[in-house]
Amino acid sequence: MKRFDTFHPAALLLFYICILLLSMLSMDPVLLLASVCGSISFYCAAAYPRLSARSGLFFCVLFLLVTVTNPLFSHNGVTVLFYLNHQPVTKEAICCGAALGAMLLSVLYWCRTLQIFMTSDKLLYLFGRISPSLGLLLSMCLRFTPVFRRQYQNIHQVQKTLGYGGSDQPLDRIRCHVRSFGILVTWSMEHAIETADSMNGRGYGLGQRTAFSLFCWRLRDTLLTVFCLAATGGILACRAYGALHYYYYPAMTPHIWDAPHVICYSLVWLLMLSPVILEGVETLRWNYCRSAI
Amino acid sequence: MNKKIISCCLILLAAPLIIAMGVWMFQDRRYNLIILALVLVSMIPFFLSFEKRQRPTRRLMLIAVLTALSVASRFLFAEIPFFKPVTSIVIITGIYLGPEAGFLCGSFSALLSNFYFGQGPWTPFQMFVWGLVGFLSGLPSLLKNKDGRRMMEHPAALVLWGGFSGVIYSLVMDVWTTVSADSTFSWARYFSAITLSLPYTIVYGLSNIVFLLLLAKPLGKKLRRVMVKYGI
Amino acid sequence: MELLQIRHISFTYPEQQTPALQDINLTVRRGEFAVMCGASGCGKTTLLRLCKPAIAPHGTRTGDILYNGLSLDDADPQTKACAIGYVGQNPEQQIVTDKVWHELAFGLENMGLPNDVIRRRVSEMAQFLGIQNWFHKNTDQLSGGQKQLLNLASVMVMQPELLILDEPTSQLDPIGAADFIGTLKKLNRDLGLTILLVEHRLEEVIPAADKVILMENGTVLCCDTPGGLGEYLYTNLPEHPLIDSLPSAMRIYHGLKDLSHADTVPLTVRDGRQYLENALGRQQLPENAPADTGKTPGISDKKAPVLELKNVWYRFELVGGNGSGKTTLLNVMCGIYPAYSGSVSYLGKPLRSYKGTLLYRNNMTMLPQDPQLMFVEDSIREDYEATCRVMGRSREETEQEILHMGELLSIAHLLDRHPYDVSGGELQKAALGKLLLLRPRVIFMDEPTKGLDGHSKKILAGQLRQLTAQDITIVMVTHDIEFAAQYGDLCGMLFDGQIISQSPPEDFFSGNSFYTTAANRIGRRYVPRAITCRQVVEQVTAGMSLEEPI
Repeated sequence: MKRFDTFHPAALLLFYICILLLSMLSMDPVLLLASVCGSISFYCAAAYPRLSARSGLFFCVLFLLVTVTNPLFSHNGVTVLFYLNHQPVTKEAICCGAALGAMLLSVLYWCRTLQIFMTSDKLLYLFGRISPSLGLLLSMCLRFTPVFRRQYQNIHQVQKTLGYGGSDQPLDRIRCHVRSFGILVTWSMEHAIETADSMNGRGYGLGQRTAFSLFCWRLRDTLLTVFCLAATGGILACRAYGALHYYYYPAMTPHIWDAPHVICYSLVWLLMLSPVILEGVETLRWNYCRSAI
Repeated sequence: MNKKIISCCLILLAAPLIIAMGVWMFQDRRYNLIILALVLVSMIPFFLSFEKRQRPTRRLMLIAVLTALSVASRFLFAEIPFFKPVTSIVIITGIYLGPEAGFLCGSFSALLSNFYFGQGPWTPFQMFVWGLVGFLSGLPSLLKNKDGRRMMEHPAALVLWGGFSGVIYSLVMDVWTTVSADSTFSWARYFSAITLSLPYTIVYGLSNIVFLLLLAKPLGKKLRRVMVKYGI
Repeated sequence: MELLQIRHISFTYPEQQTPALQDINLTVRRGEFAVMCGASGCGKTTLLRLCKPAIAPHGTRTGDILYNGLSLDDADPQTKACAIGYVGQNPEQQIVTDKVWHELAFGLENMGLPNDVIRRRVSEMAQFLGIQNWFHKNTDQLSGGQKQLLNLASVMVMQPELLILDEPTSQLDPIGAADFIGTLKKLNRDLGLTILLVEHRLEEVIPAADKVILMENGTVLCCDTPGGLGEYLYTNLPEHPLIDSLPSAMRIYHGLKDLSHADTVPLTVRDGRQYLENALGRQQLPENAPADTGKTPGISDKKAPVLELKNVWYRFELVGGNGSGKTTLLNVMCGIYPAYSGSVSYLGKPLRSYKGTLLYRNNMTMLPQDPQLMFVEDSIREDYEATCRVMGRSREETEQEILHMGELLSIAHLLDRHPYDVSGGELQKAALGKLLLLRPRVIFMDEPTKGLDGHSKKILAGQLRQLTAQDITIVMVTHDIEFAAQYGDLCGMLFDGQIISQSPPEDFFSGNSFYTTAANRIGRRYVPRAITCRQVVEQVTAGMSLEEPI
């Protein structure tokens, strides 16, 4: 059980909106570094027993690819390192590429944790808040998808025992898939009517629906919300005072360490690392509690 | 009533608000945020209009079934790379159940299948583009006397629209590729992304055409049968 | 007090000449457990649905249905939705949402109730019906029995006064079905809930029922207590197909009534045993009374057992827990799954040596649990034609074979219908026809009696017997003990991945003490080798007639 899993969907959504907004807001290397560190460490903590080296490698390659390809498109910058095909390759372009790669990397990793924590029922809750009918539609789709997948396996097997699709020819196999899919379509549509009856039987469409959920808004959701809003507001305010305006071209902006910058950076690091800190503290406390029993 | 007015105003305000924010950040050229936000906001009217109208349960059911079918089909045809009937099912839904259903089927297919294939910033783009394809496929059927539907059922129309929707898909998704790799939107990047993804575009278009030709007739027949049998 | 009154209801479906229901009069009292039975197509479902306006069929209706003394047409929709609950046949298809808790709340959400009210009602019902252990699960992970229980619970949260159920256990295995019926009894007893139930499985239901309603051809034939119904059937309609579905105790009693009369008709196994004990006392029936030859004529006349795997040799060793299910075993036997270890041979050669589709043309085939999955085309005839094309038959041959199949299975009138527009029993026949077009020598069947009423089962058994006479081997997995006892030639029990004991049904079931037919459980003290009601009656009668002259 991860701590983040227990937050209210709305609080979670707000957190992720803030985080993603900030990650894409600026090319400032300090901000991007914070976001990358925060997202990757949080992902490792969240997916702990099931980390895959392959996806990690994939993201490294992606990062390098973005870094390397940026100079091919952008020839701005003052510090020319060398010429490729008579086009200058500049230090600024490479750095900018690295920043773009870092932004992409952090966004992707935040999204991966988002996928872990924003489970279908939480998303459903959020949709249900906007519109109960939409929430219901989504829930019905979520219900049918696994049913259809299972039923498709059954159909495919039955078709095999009837002597279809058993041969090794690819065309024959594709034809059998299309055939099975056709059966699935008929089956699903004919049986959907029973589901519709069951809905009508329980009074669907009689009036305004409400959306029930098991989620409760607790103190820690309030805390998370306040923290996110305060941090994001602070960062945006600092931005108005000149922080987070970073340029790579023609030359990279030198870092200034005045008050808005320092406050801004510390807030950014605090916000970006907050999930992993929370998870870590929680795990330690849990282990402590368990050993105390 | 009050709530409705507020929500309408919010939508009307949202687009200019985003652009204004974009202008404010223009110096930074944060196209990625602006485009993402625009895509998200552009879908809200569709979703809200869905809530307003009460529709027969059986119709809602059919939309859900078709959406689930298109999500499931992404798994079922796993054996054959790139050839997926998702877009074709979305198009067929649009043709037979109208633009609104087409949009819902498309956008929810994207949202739900990404639960299994990975959510990311591309999800809104996929939702948008599949929704759009479904919506556009349904527009002709709004014409009187079902002429539009008959027109869309014609194999030539299916081939054209199937291929075209493959192109639309690629073009929109390339926007996301460009913006994500280069948060400033540069046409050079965009065109190179389009050229790089050309083979995929062709495969998408082809698979749409193949599946539309394979599925449109039987699926349409089945849908019509169910719609007649159960009075939808 | 009357809760539901059906007054002179007649109903005709659109574009139909004959009415589906004719002048029905019925009363269901508050707190009553009423069971409705009859052959499929007699109008039970139509009548049930008319009592639930939200899902009432379209057509012309005359007469009136009163609920609580008020016409249903006048009641407001919210009340109708809540007060009358409806649970249908198919557990899978009635579930709307993806989570158990959400499904439970669905009806209450429709009523627009606030969150905390819903929360209380849902938790209350989950607690009462023992759902709390799987409250957070996905609905997709549940077993069939759990799914149906969930359907019941999600209707019960709306606090209905009248619960209408249309064959709720027909798709469940016996354990799930018994649980479900047990829950119904509990609801009836503990909450005083009024229940109107349509059911084929009368063995478990009838003992709990206060009233049994027998319908035929759109009319109510008889509406009486369970004992009264038996009395009525045996005196007026001794050939009625429903007699075969009555509880074994009742059938045995009516078979032996002339020898020994009882004041109350026995309904359960316990009552049946008591009745026999009262009738026979301590006496032992002579060992070698004609008991051994008392087999049903269908089996005893044939010396050579037809279902022996004559040309077929199977050696399956399913080691460990892997693949211990019976459906898995069938799939292994017909080569869909490779055997975990050991080998499966057909005609002396391992299954692996049959390449491509060779194994499934002219050799073996399988009837799936859900025959709907076999049909692709829009009519049964088109499907048959496609099958014949695959088998490489010419046009004339195809026509002839289809004609032949129509006669053989008496489905000629169904050939032009859509496979989803015919009843379960009819579809089963059509599916069998499709299999036979493949000219199989072995047919595997997965639960072929699921969802069939007694009459359809009897017809199915007759057709299977015809097939076995043509040297077609039939291997069937089933939960239906009574069916296996009555018609099987060889029975085996699958447990823990192994076939435990394998013998002719008389030996097999008389050797088991729990996993055996109800008739055997009733009569085993006196006639241990009798496994069907008929055998019990015959053997007891024969034994008594030997005794009495002395």
